[in-house]
Amino acid sequence: MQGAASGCHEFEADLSALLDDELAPERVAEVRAHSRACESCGGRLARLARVDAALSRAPAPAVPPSLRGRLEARLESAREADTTARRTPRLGAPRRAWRGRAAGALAAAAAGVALYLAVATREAARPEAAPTPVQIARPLVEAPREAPQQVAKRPAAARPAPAPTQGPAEPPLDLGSVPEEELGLALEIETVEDLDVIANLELLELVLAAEAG
Amino acid sequence: MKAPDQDAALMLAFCAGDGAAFEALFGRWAAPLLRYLERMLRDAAGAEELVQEVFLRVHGARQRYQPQARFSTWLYRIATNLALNELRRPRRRELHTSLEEPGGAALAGVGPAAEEELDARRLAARVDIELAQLPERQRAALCLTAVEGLSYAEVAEALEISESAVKALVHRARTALAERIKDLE
Repeated sequence: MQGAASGCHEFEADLSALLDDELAPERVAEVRAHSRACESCGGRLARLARVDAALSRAPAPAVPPSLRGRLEARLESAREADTTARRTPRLGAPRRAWRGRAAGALAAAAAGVALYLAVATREAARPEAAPTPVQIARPLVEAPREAPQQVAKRPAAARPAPAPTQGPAEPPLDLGSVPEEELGLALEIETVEDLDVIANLELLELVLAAEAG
Repeated sequence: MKAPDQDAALMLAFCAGDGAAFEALFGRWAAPLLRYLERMLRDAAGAEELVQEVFLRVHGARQRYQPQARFSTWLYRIATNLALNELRRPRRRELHTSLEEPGGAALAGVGPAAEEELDARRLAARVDIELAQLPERQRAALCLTAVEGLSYAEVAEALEISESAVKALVHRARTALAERIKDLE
């Protein structure tokens, strides 16, 4: 009796799978043979099959004729909404522009700091005064060199419009007028480089304060 | 070898700009989806809303559709996710039973055949009512398998679970329903 019970347990989980045609052919034969021989499993299989018969008895409901029309109306409003959204500038756009300008201003200021510190270092000609300015200036000097790579990674649509050229090869001393792209200013304030710029501005304030003092 | 997926071909035609292909997909799938969603929600009006929602998603996917699975599996996956979201809405309206216990008035004639038919209708109605009491995933797995004819692999994909989990869900659901309709034997 005990042996029969453990045998049933082994087959029970496969009774549903048998109805769903999910068993391998050899297992189908085993489960069917057991169900014929075992009254308990045979009865269970019949009850499970009865559930399926009841479930499949209900026909698919008729689709109301109005459903197609309602779907068409919703598709139409979705199309209209899409057209309106394309015409209306996205709320995010001004913010991005502002962020771009802010990043530009920050980087221009940082570049100014770099120049100032480089000149100050050279004029002071005192090696012991150099470490701090040199450490500050390094990332700022490197920033423009990395910029094209970062800009190139953006998808074409997201790229800013090309900036007007500055004429001769010699860059102007006023870095504030250099196009943002050339300074790598297309960066959002989300990168490590941006954090360097901000940190350098804070250090500039300290240097200026120390000089003033 | 599986039969070629005609629905995926229709969807690809729709993606290429053939509006009639979308119409054809609606014609082929609106009724089965409505049946499935009515059983999931027990709410005919809610099911109609979700059928529209499914086809809105299908329409919206025309730019990025990739036939990686059978079209029907993808469709039922959308429908299942929508149904489960709907069922979890905190202030979902009270369900109503669209399938009443059938009376004898609709049956033509009397006699053993009519009695048998009435019993079968009663059983079907009772199973539908009991089905609504099952946990959502058991209900979805059983309906997709036993009514909509999806394989365990397809149900697994639609429900985003493993095939062995589908097998267990279906078995539990069937066993629970069989137990609950014992009194109608």
